[in-house]
Amino acid sequence: MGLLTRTEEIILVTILKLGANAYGVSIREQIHADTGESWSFASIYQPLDKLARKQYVIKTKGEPTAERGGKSKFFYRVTPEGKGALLRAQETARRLWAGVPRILPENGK
Amino acid sequence: MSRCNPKLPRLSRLLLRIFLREDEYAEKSGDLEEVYSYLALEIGPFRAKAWLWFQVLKAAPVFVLNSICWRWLMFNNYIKITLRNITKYKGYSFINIFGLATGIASCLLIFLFVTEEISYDNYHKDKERIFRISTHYETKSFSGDWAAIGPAVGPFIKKDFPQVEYAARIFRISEPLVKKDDRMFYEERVFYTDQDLLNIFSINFIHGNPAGALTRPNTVVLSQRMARKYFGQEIPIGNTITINGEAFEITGVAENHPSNTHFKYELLVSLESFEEAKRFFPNWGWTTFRTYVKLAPQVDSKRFENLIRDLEKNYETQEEMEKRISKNSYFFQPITDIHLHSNIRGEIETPGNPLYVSGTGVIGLLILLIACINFMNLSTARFANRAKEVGLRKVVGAQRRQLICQFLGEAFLMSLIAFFIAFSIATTVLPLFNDISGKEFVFNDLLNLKILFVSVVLIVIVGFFSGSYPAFCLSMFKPGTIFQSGRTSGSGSSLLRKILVVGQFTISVALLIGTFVVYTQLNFMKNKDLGFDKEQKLFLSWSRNSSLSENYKNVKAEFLQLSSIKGATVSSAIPGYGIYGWQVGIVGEADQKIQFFNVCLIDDDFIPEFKIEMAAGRAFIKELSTDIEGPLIINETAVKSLGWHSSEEALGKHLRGGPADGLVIGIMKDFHFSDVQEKIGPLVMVYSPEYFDSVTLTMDVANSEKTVSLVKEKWQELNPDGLFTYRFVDSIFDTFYRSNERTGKLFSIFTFLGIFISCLGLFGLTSYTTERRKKEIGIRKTLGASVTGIAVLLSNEFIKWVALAIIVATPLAYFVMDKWLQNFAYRINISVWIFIFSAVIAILISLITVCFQTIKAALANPVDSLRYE
Repeated sequence: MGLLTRTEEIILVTILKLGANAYGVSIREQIHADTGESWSFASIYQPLDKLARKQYVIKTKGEPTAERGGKSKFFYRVTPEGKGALLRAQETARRLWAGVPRILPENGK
Repeated sequence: MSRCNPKLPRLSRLLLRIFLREDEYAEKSGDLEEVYSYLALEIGPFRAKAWLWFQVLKAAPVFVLNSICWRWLMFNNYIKITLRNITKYKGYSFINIFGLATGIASCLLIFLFVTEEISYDNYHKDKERIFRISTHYETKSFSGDWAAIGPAVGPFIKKDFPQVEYAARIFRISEPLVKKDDRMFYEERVFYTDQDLLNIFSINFIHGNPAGALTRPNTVVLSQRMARKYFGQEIPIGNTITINGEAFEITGVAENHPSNTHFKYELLVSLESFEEAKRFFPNWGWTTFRTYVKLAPQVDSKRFENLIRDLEKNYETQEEMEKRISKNSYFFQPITDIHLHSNIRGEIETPGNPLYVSGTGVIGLLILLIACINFMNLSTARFANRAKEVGLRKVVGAQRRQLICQFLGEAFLMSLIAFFIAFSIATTVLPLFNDISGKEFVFNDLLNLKILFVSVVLIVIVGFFSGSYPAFCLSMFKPGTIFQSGRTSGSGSSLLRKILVVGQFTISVALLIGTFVVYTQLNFMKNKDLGFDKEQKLFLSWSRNSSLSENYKNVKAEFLQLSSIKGATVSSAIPGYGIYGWQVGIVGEADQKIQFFNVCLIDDDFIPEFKIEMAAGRAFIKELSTDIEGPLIINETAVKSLGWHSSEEALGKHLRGGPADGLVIGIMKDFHFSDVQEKIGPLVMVYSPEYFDSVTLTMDVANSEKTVSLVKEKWQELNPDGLFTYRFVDSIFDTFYRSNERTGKLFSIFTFLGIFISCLGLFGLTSYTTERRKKEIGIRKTLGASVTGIAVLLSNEFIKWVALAIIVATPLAYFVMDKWLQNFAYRINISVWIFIFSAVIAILISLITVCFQTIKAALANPVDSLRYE
C-alpha cells in the first residue's frame, strides 16, 4: 500500500474531524475553513472515489432531509483501514521531519 | 435555506445523469443543489448559476473517466453475453444478420442507381439557367415534340435578345471514321458545335484554352479518353487528326464527360467546319440542331419562353413559310429535366424512364423493409427467450436503465455487423449490378457521404426497433413473475409477427408475378413474327459520299461471286437500322393528308431478299429502268394512315416528300422495321441509288466466321479507305430487347431476394414457434399423435398466412403489371396461369421452408422435451 497523497490525507482528516456530519458539502466547507483554499467539488469527489475504492472510507446514504428538498445526504465514514493509513502517514511525516534543523526564515527575520 | 430549493438547471442535471450512476447522481446532484440554492440566495441566481457551471464543467472530465472505468466492466459482460448469444444460436444469428445484410446491400446498390439517375446534368454550373430549346410541330393532322430546332434559331435569339447570354447548337456526326496515322476507328459521340457550348456546359479543359477553341473551322476538342486512344501520353494540342478524310487541328483536351449527363461527347468539332451545311444555316425549318441556351441571371425563363414561342413567324420569309408543311413553336426544357422528364423524339441518348427509376426505388425500399421487419421480428422472438437472463440480472441488482442500454446496445451491434456485411456484399456484386443496370459504378461510389449518412440513420432505426421490445418490455417484468412462469408469453407480439410475415409474402408474391409477366412479354416479343427474314444476314455500310454508291451494282456482283453468299441487296437502311422519317403528302390534295413517313431507299433485290410479302401491286423489277427514282411501295399502315380503305385503292396514287416522289405501285404487308415495342408506322420505299450506303448479304450458313473473313477480304478490295465493320441483322434486333431484358433480370433478382429474405423470416419464425411448442408436441406424441399429424398441424398455421398473402398480392400485381404492359404496342394478356403458377411456387417454397422445421420437431423424441418437467 502506497502512501496517501496530500489531498487524500486532508480529506481523510477532515472526515474524521467532522464525525457523523461528513458529506460532500460539509467536507468542502471544512477544508476551506482549515486551509483557506477553495476546492471545487470535482477535486473532492475524485479522491473520495479513490478512497472509497481503496476502502479507506465508506459511503452511507442518510435519511432524506428537508433542507435538500427531500433528497438524501451521502455520508462518509473513515474505516479502520483508513485510520491505519492516516496513522502511517502521520508516522511517515514524523520520521521525515526527524533530524531536520529548525527552519528559520531567511534574512534573519 | 428555508426557502424552497431552486432546482439545478435542467441541462446540468441531464449532463450529470448521463455520466453518473443512479446513486452517485443522487449524491452529487444533492450536494451541488444544496450549495447552489444557498448561493442563489446569497449572491443572486445568475452568479450562482455561473458557479454551478464552473463546478460541473470542472468535474466533467473526472465523472466521464469514472463512468467509463466502471462501465467498462459491465460493458465487457454485455459484449460477452451478446457474442455468446450469437454463437449459441448460430442458425438464428446467421439468418438474422445475413438477411438484413442482403436487404441493405441491395438497397445500397439501388440507392446508387437512383441517385445517379436523378442527378443527371446537375453538375453544370448555373444549371438553373441552362435550357434546351425544343420544337412543337403541328400540321393539321399531326403534332408532336422534337428535341431539336433549325440552325438559324440559336444565333438569332442570341443576337436579338439580351436575355440570352450564350446559345450553342450541336449536330451529331453519325459514326465518322476518325484516323490518326495507323489508328483508325469509327467513333460515336462526335458533334459539330459552337464555341458557346463550352460556356454553357461545364466542360473542363485539361490541355489547351477553352476560349476560342472551337471558333475557327477545322478545329476539334478531344475528350481525355480520345486523346489517350489516339495520342497515348503525348499532349496532342496543335496536332491534327483526320475525321472522315478531313484534317482537324486539335485545340483542346477536355475531361471525360461524367456518366450522369445526357450529352456524352468524345470529339467536339467546330460548327464552322460543317461546309456542306453552311448554306442551310439561315434555315428555320431544318430541325436537326439541338440548341442550348444559357439565360442571363434573373431572367424569368417562363416569360422569356412565351416571348420566343412563336418566334418563327416573325423572322422567316413568307416564301419559306409557305413551302413548309408544319408550324413550329418553341419551348424550353431545363437541362436537368432532359434525362428523366423530357422523353420527346430526337433525343441524343435514350432518356431514362422515371417510372423505372421510381419503380426500382420503391422495390429497393420494399426489400429493405422486408429485411428490417425480419430482423426486428426475429430479434424480438429471440429476445423473448431471454426473460430469465433479465430476471437474474434484476435480482443481482441491474437497474432498468442498464437493461435497456444492454438490449438496445446488443441490437445496435447486430445491425452494425449486418451493415459491414452488407457493404462487402454490395462490393462483391457491383460488377454484376453494373451489367444489369448499364452503369459504371466503382467501389468508391459506395463510400459517399449520403450513403454513410443513410446507413447511420438506418443502423439507428433498425437497431432501435429490433431492440426496443426486449429493452422496454422485458425490462419491465418483475423478476418473480419471470421465474414463476418460466418465460413471458409473447402473444401480443405474435399477432404483429403474423401480420409482418403476411406483408413480406405479399411483396414477394407480387414480385414473383411481376417477373413472370415481364418474361412472358419478353418471350412474346422475341418470338413475334417480324414479317421479314432477319436470319443469316450480314450488314455492311460505307460513308455516304463514297464512290461505292454509284457502283452499287458492281458491289453486289463482287460479293455474289463468293460461293457462300447467296444474295445481296443495297439500300440506305435496313429494318432496325437507319430508317428515318420524312414528311410525305398526297400530290393534288390539301395538306391535311401530310404525314410523317418512314422512308427506306432500296434496290430491286431488297424485298425478295428480306422476304417481305406484298399485299397488292408489285415490287421493283430489275429490268424496268423506270422503276429507278420513280414509283413507290408503301406498307399497309401507310395506306390506312392516308385514309384509303383498301390496298387496291392506294395503287396509282401520287405521293411526294423527301426523296419520294412518284406513283404507288405496290403495297407491302406490315413488318416490324423498328423496335418491336413500337407500333408499326407508315413506311415508303423508293428505288433511289443516290442514297445507297450499305449492302446486306445473305449467307448460306448462319453467322459463319469463314464467310465473314471472306467478306472482309472482298470489302477491303472494294473499299480500301474504309474500315470493315459489320453487324448481323438478327443481332440488331436483339439489342431492341436489351432494355426489357434488363427489366426482366432486375425483376428476377429482386424476386429472388424478396423470396429469399421472406423465407429466411419464415424459417426463423417457424423454428421459434416450434421451439416454444416443443412440450406441447411432446405431450401430443405421448398421447399418440402421428408424425404427419403434428407436421401438418404446425405447418398449417404458416401456410394459411402465405395463402392470405397470395390473395392480397394478386390484384396488386395485376394492377401494376397491367400498367407496365401499356408501354408496349404489342402485348400479352396476363393469363390466369401466371397467378396460379406464382401461387403454387410461393406455397411450395414456403412449405419446404416450414416443413424443414416442423418435421424435425415432429420427429423429435418426446422424452427430450418432457424430461425436465
